[in-house]
Amino acid sequence: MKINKNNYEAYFIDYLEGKLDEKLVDDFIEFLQQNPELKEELSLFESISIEPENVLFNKKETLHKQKLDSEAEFNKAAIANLEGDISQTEKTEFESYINEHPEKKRDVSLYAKTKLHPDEAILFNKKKKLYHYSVGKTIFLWSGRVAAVLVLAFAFFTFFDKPVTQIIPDNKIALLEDKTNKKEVNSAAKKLPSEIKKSDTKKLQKNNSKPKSEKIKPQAKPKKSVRESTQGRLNHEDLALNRIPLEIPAELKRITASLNTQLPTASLATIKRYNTGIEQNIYEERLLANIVKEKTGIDKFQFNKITKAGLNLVSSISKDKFKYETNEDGKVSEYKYDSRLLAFSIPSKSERNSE
Amino acid sequence: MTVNEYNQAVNNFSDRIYRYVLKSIRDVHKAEDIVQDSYEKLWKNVENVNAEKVKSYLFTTAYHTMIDRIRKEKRSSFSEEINLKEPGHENNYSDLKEILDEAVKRLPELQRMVLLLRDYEGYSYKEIGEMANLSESQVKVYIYRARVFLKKYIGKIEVLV
Repeated sequence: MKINKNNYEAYFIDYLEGKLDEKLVDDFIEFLQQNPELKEELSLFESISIEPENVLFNKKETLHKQKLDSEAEFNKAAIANLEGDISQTEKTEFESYINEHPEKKRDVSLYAKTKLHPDEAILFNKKKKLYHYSVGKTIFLWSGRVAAVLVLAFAFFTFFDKPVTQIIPDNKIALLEDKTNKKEVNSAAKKLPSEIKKSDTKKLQKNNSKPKSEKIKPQAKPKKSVRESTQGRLNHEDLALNRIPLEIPAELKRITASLNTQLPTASLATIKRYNTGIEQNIYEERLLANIVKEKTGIDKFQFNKITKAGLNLVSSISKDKFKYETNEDGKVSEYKYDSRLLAFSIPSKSERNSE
Repeated sequence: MTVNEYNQAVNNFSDRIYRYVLKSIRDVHKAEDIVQDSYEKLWKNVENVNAEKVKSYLFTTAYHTMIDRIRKEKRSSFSEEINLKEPGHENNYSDLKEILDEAVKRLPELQRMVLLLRDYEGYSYKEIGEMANLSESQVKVYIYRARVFLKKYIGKIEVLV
């Protein structure tokens, strides 16, 4: 494009800034010679220059950034401070930074809260499964278990195998008690202690010397039975009159019988025993079953106790995989089995019925 | 290590390992299984394990057993991402512990396990690295990320409350 009066300004600026292409310089000079008024305008352009003022920004400090202003750096320092993984200089720097920036204190307290604390109430309840014992102790434990099984088996045997003497035969006839005789015996028994208290030893000796027949009063003659008096000849009406109605009480009272024996007052002759020097072992003949019963207290057992003993044994053999629960009455209410492969929980029969 | 020392280790550390595993995987039955597995492994190696190092042996075993179990269940590698589900208003938190529990649940498994080793048992970065087959700097990064997440979570809830 050739320079003309419409586009000369762009040429002027390029010329003044020294950016005018060398090829255009000749055309530019020729244009100025042809237009002397524009040559004068160019000289005015040359005199214009703006010098910068010496003005300073006074708030540079607010724009400065510290290392800890970076969120990542602050977090790093706060966590290192929390973990105790911070050098002394870094710690001082961090603390002074916190003092200068109180708004950061909340962050520090939040980091302090991230420290986790174990719940001491949580305990591992299956320690028994983890324990191991030495060979000797293991053998002892197993022998104990075997012995327990044998004792249980023996207990079952004795429980179900009742002695023959306890079985009441079907054809046994109940004996009637003679009330008149019993009363006499009771009255005699009641009288005896008072008599003993009153009488001294001398009287007793005298009484002993007297014949017993004198003391005993003659008993009333026994009444003859209807059969004896009528010699078995009674009409139906008479027989009905002679019948004695029996009054049966609503509740039969128990008759307690007590037997007081008269203690001999005479002193017994002292018996002297001489040790011959020969030791004699006295052997008491006792059944093994009775010994086991006494030692283990099986003679006082109940069926529930045996059940529990058996379940405890199974539980100990299975290393607590098998468990049971009892209700308030002490009866087994639920059976539980828990292993890696299998786990179940079964309520007992009685429990199911109650539900 | 003697049998008595082994049984002593049961008394001394089984509760702590159980707490650690339970908090890490949040399943009572699995936690019990893992504790038992760890002690079984210890019992198999009872002659080779030094009584003084039995605690770290047990924690190391428990850690790797957990990792194996989680891998089997997920059939893939661990997620590195935090569960970024926003804490909702519907959660009624009564104290900081509950908030923190919720936040810990949301941590990725590895971060959680490493952080628990650090906070519950006070192991150093180096010790945790040796136990978990991680470099010290990796452990540092896991703990750093976990703490930043927990802090942000607590901060948000505090603002909401």
